[in-house]
Amino acid sequence: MFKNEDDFAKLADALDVDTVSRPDHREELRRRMLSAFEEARLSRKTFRLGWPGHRRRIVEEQQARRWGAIMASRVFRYGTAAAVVAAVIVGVTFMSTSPNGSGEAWAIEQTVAALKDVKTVYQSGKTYLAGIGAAGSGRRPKQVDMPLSFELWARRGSDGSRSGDLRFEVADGTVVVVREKPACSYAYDPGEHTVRVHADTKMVTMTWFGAELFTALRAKSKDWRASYGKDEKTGRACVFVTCSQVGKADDRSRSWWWQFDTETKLPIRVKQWDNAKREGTPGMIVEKIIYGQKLKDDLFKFKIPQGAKVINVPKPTTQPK
Amino acid sequence: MGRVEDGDDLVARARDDADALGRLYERHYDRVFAYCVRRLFVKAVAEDVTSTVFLHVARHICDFAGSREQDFRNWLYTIATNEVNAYVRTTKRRAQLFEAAGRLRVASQPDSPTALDRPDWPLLYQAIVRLRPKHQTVIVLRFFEGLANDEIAGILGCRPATVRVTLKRALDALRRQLLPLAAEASGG
Repeated sequence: MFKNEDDFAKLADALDVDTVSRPDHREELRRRMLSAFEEARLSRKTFRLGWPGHRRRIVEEQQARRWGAIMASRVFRYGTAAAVVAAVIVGVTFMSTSPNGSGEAWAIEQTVAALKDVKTVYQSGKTYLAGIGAAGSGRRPKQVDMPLSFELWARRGSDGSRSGDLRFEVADGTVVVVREKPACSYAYDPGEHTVRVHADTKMVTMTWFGAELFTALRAKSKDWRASYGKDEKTGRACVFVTCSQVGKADDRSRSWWWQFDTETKLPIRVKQWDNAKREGTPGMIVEKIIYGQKLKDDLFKFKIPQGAKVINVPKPTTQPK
Repeated sequence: MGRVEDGDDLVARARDDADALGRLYERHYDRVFAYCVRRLFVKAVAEDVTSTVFLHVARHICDFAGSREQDFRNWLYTIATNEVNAYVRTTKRRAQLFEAAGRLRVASQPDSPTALDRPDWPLLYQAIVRLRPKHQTVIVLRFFEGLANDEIAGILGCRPATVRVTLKRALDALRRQLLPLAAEASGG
């Protein structure tokens, strides 16, 4: 038994404590840390509401950047990822269906102009869906009691009409990465500890919209309603939109609550229900959206988790819709 | 000397430069992870806490007031200590860590005759994790991280004299915890 500090110091020195780290963790954490850093920095510079001059700053940023197009998804291959993507589709849709055409904040031309040149989008929030679903396989995300936080990063594709690179992460460990060049998709399911690799395929894509698409989506939307109010935290003027879309199958029906900033014209919060009546707890809540953020290439590189089983999924004969 | 200046320069730039922050991360990741392992025994738990530490750094580096790399290192220790102590403050978690160390001890040295004189790491950890978080902190910082009392005082925000007294009490408490565990390990 040690008698004093020196004695204990010698004992501690002689111990063999394994403190070797996993390279995977080191690398992954580095990426997450730098991503959080960029996000915090951008947030400070651009979206910090409530500080003196923030309105002027936002307008200046807008003029400087010429906000570009936002995106949408037609391919609901992965449940949770698709949920987020779907929300953006209809959110943009309803921006074009401003009540009575009265609110100057909701002129479709303004919205289109505001979103015209956006090349990247980031979203974060909470989801009550865990795991990965796959269309046609019977596998669906599970509803969970406690919300899971998620993050989504996406770039506009090279053709300008659809998303290219995309990354989606859920706090339960689910990761979906889609790369444009070369086209490849990865979906990591932490429950099964498996990675499904879809070579030559972008299994989750989002389309960058223009006015034409807004019009088309507006036609499909049901029972939309918009009301003007203020953000409960910042007091900024906002528009709140509720809407729904009834799918052919029950599991394709969706309804939404959207909050748009009338000054920037941009959607700032979203809730989505997986039913047409906004019943129950929203399956997904987007609490933060950042447009035009610089996204590093490393973000869209997928590293197979240690020990994960890799399943190579054959390319579908037709593109899912 | 050049290396120290380089580190200080990185700290100065890291508030607004992702590359500089990334380099600081590379320089300090192992240290933080090792500290977390020594405090939490289970590597998976240590990874989680290490992640929390660096994500906190990423979000708050702009408010970091230090100018030297040593300040940055101490800041990391402070964050890590807070996070670890928040983790081990829960009795259930401490019990889980105690059991994890116990499983390893039983598996590797079921009947160590020298356990009292030369406790192995799992046995010593079992004794450490039973201490108050403040005592755990000073023991690990002093004897496993090799920090001086004034450095520990800077990390914990107290006077060196306080560290000295706390350290003495912590070692006394550790001795008391270790005795029955070592006797048990020796088959006594």
